[in-house]
Amino acid sequence: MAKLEQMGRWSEPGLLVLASLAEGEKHGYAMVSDIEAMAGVHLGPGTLYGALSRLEEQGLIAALAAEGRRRPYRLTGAGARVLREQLTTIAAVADTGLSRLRATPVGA
Amino acid sequence: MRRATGISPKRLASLLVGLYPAAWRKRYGTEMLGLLEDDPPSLRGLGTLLVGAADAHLRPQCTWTKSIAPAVRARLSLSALFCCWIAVSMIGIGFQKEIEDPAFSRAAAHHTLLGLAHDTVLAGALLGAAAIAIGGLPLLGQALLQAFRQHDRPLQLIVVLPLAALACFAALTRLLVALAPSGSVARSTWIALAVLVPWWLAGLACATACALAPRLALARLAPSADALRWSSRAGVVLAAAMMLVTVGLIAYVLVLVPVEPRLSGQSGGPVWPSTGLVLALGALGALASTAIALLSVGRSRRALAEA
Repeated sequence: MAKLEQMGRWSEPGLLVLASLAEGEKHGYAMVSDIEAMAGVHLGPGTLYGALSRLEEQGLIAALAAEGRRRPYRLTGAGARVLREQLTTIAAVADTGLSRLRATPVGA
Repeated sequence: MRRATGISPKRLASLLVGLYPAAWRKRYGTEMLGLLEDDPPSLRGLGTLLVGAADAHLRPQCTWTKSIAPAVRARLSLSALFCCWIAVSMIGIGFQKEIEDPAFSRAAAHHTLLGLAHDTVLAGALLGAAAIAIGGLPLLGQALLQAFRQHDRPLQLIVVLPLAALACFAALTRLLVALAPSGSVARSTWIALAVLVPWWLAGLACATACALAPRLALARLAPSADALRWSSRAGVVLAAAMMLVTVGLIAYVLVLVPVEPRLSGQSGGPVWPSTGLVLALGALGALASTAIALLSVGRSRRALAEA
């Protein structure tokens, strides 16, 4: 989990990329489309490659052989662990927040 | 989306990819261009490319930097440093031209801080010229020897390129001065545009030629690591000189505007903004160039430590 936090402003796009690659290997455009469908966020090319280069640097994803101008990436074991930790934390926060909202409805 | 310039977003995006460091482009450039083919970027997407390029320059020690040999990275960084010096030199020349009126000299004599700021710019310019001479002359000597003793035709053209550009610019300047009736530039917007726009474009082309020539020459010469180390040490002095020039320019603007509002508010012609604005823009340009120069000199030192 600490690894993604080290990425500063790139941690959120990094998490989206990891979540996209959890489904299987993808190249840049496939990731952008998948993330848009999954989270409603369209990653710009600079943001996507800023995140990809950091994730690759940290060993959370790995580049595969290029297919023409496209190069697919896959999630590594370390990447899967980091993604699981992050999503577990987010889910716990979401569960707690939602149960609190149910208990004490704000603005009702 | 197509801009008024006729440049499509895809073409503009490809140009922006060129702003990334060479090592980064070598590792990610092809696939990023592939992505831009599949998903032409919006205006915001183009903005992310600018931010991404700046970020890549600020992260010099990544695995992708290893995709280019240290000596080549050192050469590229030194070339970038020289380009920054050319930019600061142009700004410095513009600064001198903007304040050539004797009223500015009188103001500098009257206000100590203004005079000090002006002297700081001059001291930086002199120090920079000395650093260029010390760091660049050995490389120029090597280029001249290789170009003319070994009859290296492309290198001969590269060596002659900045001289030819400067000669053409000087000739155009003389021609425009001769053609434009005395005082007409200050009176007529059309004459000012007809004279100044070609002159500015020619100046830009001349500066580009002067900045490109050392880059091309360094790529062809492949100087030894020792020669690059020598130039890199001079590069540290050059970066310090650029800092001096920048500090002097910023101080000059900060002092001039409040103490001499009439001088800072005057304009050199119908298409020319006020002196204060011109000097402030110059100071900003010098600040940006100096920041890039500092990054470049740091990168060249790191690359040479690996070589």
